[in-house]
Amino acid sequence: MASTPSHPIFHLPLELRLEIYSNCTALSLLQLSHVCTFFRSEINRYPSIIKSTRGFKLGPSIVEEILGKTPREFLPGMNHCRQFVLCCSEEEMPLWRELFDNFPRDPELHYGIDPDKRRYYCEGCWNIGYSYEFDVDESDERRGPIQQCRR
Amino acid sequence: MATPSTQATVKLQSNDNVVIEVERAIAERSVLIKNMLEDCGEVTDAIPISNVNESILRKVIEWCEHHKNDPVAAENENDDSRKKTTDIDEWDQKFMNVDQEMLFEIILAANFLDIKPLLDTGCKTVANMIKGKSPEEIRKLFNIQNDFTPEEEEQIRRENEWAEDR
Repeated sequence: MASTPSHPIFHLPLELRLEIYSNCTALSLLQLSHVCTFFRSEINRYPSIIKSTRGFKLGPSIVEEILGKTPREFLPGMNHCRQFVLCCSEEEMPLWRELFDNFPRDPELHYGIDPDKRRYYCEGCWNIGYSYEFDVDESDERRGPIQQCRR
Repeated sequence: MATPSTQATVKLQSNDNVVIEVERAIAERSVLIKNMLEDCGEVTDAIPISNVNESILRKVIEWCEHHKNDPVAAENENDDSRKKTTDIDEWDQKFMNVDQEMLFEIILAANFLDIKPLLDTGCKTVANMIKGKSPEEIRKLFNIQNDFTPEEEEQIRRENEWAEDR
């Protein structure tokens, strides 16, 4: 078992760390759970917090539409949280793009997934959909491709 | 129950034995102190704040002073309503612009003194520090070692492949 790191956040009472987690977005919490074993095991012990974070709450109908599955099949636990994580703000957009790389220039980043089966997010409304539901604007070379859904 | 007191100021004593006199209305932003004063009536001695040192106590008093006229949230206020947003007002953002050690001390003090709005602001500040950062950036922020095994790293890589159909 790894020793507890020295940063003050690890020495807060548990209920205060849970308070911090509950103020995080779903994407932040997913990233935090990938930092070290301490955060990973602690965050995954509290699926109710994960489910209540902003960016996580998707209505069952939307989840079914996107995934063809009900939320219950993925819960509890952060291990499957990615299925429900939505980008919440402009501040998270660069990280979202980096992680989920909707239109990667490097084919290696596709991880061998058929692009038609990948899901994308809309930079206008952050809805999620399949590639055929999106238009791509590549006019701004500095910013890179921007995807907008046709809804 | 003691007779309600009309005293205008109270003395607070930090755990490093510094006594600070503050307006009662300011001190009563702390539910802990408010309840104590209501129970005890007139308090002439300094109230020991055993978990908080002088610099943090002064900082907390500064916050209470600025927020002394804020409406007090109802006790049964839904917790979710406090968490709908991570927006922090400009003054509070500047107030929380301190080193991490002090930030976490403020959070602990707000919890001990039962000052929920300050606790919320502190927790939101930490949440905002994390927002938009990758695991590696968060490690740098909090000076944390990556202690995952290669197998766990692989699992994490898969967790980020959210677009993969399973």
